[in-house]
Amino acid sequence: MSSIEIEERVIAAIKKNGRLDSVPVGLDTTFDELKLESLAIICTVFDLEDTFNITIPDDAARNMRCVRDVVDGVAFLIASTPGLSVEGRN
Amino acid sequence: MRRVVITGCGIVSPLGSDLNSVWEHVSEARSAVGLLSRLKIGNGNGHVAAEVKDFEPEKHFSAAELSLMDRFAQFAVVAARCARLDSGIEWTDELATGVGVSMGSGYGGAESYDASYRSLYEDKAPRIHPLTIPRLMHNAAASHISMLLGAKGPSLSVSTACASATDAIGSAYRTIQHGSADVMLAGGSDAPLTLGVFKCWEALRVLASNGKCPAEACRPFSVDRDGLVIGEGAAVFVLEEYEHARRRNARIYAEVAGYGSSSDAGHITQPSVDGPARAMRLALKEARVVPDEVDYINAHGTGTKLNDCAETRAVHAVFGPSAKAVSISSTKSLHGHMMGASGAVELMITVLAMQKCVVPPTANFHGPDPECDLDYTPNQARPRHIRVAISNSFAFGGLNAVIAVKCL
Repeated sequence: MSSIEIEERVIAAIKKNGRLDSVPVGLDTTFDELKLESLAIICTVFDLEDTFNITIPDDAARNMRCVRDVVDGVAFLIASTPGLSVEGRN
Repeated sequence: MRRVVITGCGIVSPLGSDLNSVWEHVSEARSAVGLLSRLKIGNGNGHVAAEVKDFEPEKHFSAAELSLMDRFAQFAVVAARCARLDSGIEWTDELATGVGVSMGSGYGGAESYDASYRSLYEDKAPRIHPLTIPRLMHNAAASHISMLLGAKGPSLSVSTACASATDAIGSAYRTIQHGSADVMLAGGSDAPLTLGVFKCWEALRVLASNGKCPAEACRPFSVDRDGLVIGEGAAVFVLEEYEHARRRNARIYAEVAGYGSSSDAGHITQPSVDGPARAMRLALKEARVVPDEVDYINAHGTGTKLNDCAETRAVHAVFGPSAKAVSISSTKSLHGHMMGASGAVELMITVLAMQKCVVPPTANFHGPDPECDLDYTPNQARPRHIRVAISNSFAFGGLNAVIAVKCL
């Protein structure tokens, strides 16, 4: 999966769970800027685990501060999960 | 001690979700029990139920709100909003600290438990949705009422099985009596129509059999009764300190005059006579009334062999020679056993009966049982001025709760 695709899916998950349909979200947008509350972040993490068939560890989830953190983290997990189809499950 | 009155009623029930349609069903003995449509149970006894059929969550809540709310919490909030509207009460942010919430529920978010465990065990999902805990927690009904209606006073959730709502109302009554709040939104809510809950009840062999006519499945006190019918819904009252209600010229339905609570300290499922009798006596004592003054008892009357006999004997024990003069009915014959919401729905029907001067009937009464020898108001409502009434709720586990209400 290309990093562009990961980025698109991450942003879609953040927008859905933060209910941010009309808000511009880019790679360097921070969660603080989006006023993303903890429950919305947790739901985003849940969706991403489902979408990419990965498991995001608690400490990684806690340390995400901006969209780029998430995209990089997801890309890393996809690359380091043995046997995982790069197409994900979605 | 401060006095407490009922100034608002809100309901979401199989009999309808406004007071007029509820009363129409009750006064005409029209049962809302039918074949379960929302869920397929299989060949067991569980496919008769009292469902809330006219409920459209999207009409009441945003998508964001719904993502956090189990069906039982949705029922609770809608009933609470109707109760507030009915009472005409409003509160500023400053006065909100004097408004609390007390909600009973036997099951909490039963549908959320069922759906999440099914995904885990059956679909082998590796994880559960993060909003599952907020949806299923027992206090979700009280919490959502508090959040969406802006009630900032003392709030709690009560879970004493079938007595939950009655205990929640009793607790709210105490909260106002003792001055911890001026207004309480109090009642009960349950939405237990899930495969898991049905199977649990089926295993206890206390569910009414199908019969050929589902509307007549629940037959409390009738000689041919054979069990209870599970229902769902919510009812919420605005309880208000008497002077507070008078100052704003509120319409007063009735005074909550007594609350009796007792434990059998006996068997886990088999009801006693002594425990329920003590709860009734305590409620009457606090209301400062003698048995002769009680015109109506809304019975727990589940329609099981054991409950209805034990409750009859308990009424005899408390009322003595007056027992046969009291009008009794089990409105569960009409709305089924709404579990943790039952006590609130039944107290609401009781105060409506006081307003209308009509005793609700026990529907589906096909003939007297020698062990149930009181006046159960069989099949037809009956005119009667109701000065004092009590509403009985007796839970599995031997926890009994009774509320006494007085006409003002």
